[in-house]
Amino acid sequence: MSAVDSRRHAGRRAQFAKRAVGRGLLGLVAVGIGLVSVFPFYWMILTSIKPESEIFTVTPRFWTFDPTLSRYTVLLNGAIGRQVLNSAIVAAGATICAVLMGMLAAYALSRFAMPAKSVIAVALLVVQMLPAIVVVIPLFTAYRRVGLLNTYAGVIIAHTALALALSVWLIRGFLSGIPTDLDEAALVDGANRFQALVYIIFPLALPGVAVSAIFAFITSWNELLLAMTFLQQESMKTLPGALQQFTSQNGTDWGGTMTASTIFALPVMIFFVLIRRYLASGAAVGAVKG
Amino acid sequence: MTVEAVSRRRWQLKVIPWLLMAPTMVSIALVIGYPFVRTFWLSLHEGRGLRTGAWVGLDNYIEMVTDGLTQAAFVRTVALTAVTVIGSMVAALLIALVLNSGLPGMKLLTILVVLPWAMPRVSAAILWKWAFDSQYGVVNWLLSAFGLDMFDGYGWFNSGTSALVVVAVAIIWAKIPFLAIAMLAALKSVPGDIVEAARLDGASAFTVLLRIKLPVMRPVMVVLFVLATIQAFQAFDHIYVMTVPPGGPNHSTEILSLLTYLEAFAFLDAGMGSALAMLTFAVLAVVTALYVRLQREETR
Repeated sequence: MSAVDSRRHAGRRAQFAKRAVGRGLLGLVAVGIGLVSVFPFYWMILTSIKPESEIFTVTPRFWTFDPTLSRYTVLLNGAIGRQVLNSAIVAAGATICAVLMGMLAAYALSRFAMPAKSVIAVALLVVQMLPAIVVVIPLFTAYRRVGLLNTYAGVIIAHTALALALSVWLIRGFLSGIPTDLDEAALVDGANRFQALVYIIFPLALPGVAVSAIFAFITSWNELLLAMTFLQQESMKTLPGALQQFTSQNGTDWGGTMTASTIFALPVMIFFVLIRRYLASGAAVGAVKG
Repeated sequence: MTVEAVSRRRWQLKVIPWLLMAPTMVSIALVIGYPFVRTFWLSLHEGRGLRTGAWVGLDNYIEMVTDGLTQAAFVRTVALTAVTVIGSMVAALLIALVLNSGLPGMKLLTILVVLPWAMPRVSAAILWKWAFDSQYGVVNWLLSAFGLDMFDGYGWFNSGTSALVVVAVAIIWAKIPFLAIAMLAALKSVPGDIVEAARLDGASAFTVLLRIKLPVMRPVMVVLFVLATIQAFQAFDHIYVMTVPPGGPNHSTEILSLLTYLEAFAFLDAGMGSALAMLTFAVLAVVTALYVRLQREETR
């Protein structure tokens, strides 16, 4: 074996070692990323089921051998139970309205020749960027005048408008993937536009409709500013506003807060598991509020 | 088909799309368009409670620009926006690079990274407040365990600056998933053979990132940057939930969105509140105009 050969060998070994160290470091970073992503969820749920004596320890306890669900039963039988229902009603109402209107508008934008089509589409996105803080004051006075304060309808209308633009964009994206030959064939066969939409287009666009429904639901479920401004009566409050009630002058009921937060977060987490495959398409639209 | 039938069909084709668009356009006009115009109108009037008072022209704007608390809130909003946007973009890029590294287990890690996206903002805000609790918070315990004794019992929410640090951490944590997933998608579009060739020619990982990956990702990064800026500038929930009282202690964490809310609904001066809302709008309008222009350049 020549000297050159063995030197090359050593060089390759050093390179290999360097790469192994690099991969090890990368692995460590990956574990760190995973921990930072997941630990808050773990900590929230753990705090909600710890007995009170284990929550307030100077050295945090990272496990409990004495889990309790008593906070959940107490909270759900109290005001929070009603507030979960309020949130569900508002979010479901806003979702249904946003998806139905979004579907019609998306159908118009993808299947008809309209003047200024791209202007309308861009205008929708621009509207989506207007912060709620810009519209909340006049909306409040208008609602007070027509009696929409402390009603589900008032918040549902507001949340529908918040979710609508994204709904139109998402469904339009899916509709443009469906060949127009299909609905034209239905029209030639004597179906009217409405039948073509309901029987041909809608079933094919179902994944898009589902994704936009879930995004609309999450938008409404999460929304704090408008909901707490329009729903001030205790029995009408939705969860984001209600979570404030655990903090008072005397401090915060951390066990209760974490329990209510878990109840609040659970539906969204379940939805995310269901739609994780479609998240990238939502990201592509790029207008997800978050 | 008769001439009449053809012209009727043509007429239908013109009208039907507008009928379909009508519900969307009407509800956006009512919930966003009308109140937006009203906000502008209100900002030119004295606020009497939430009623429109006497016409004052630009007085609200002049008072707003010269008011020390508002100036401080504006600077704070810009600083918080800058820190959270840059922080979340850099962190998301690093995470996207790790997720794209081809190490085993990256599919699982991608799912974990997405998880914070599913945490409602208000829940997450309260959770971070708990983690940064002075006596029982897990963060102070961790920092002291690493030998940083000054954090033993450190009251993060006792001063404006440290409270804003916690708020920034919470916002960055919440922003990362969306940004990281979008950047990962962009990274996957970088041609693998070019990266391979550069590596064989002896380019370091950093050079490859700087010279090959980032230029390919540029359009996506620009759009993400603008979107993140727009969202960060209107942040409200985290400050409202995490600071006690909202904007406290002693006004030291007030940002524009919160000040707008307080002026209108706590101090009952809708005129001033509306002027503040218009200031937020003006800043966002500039950023949005930039975004629309960039979008148009991309599609061209």
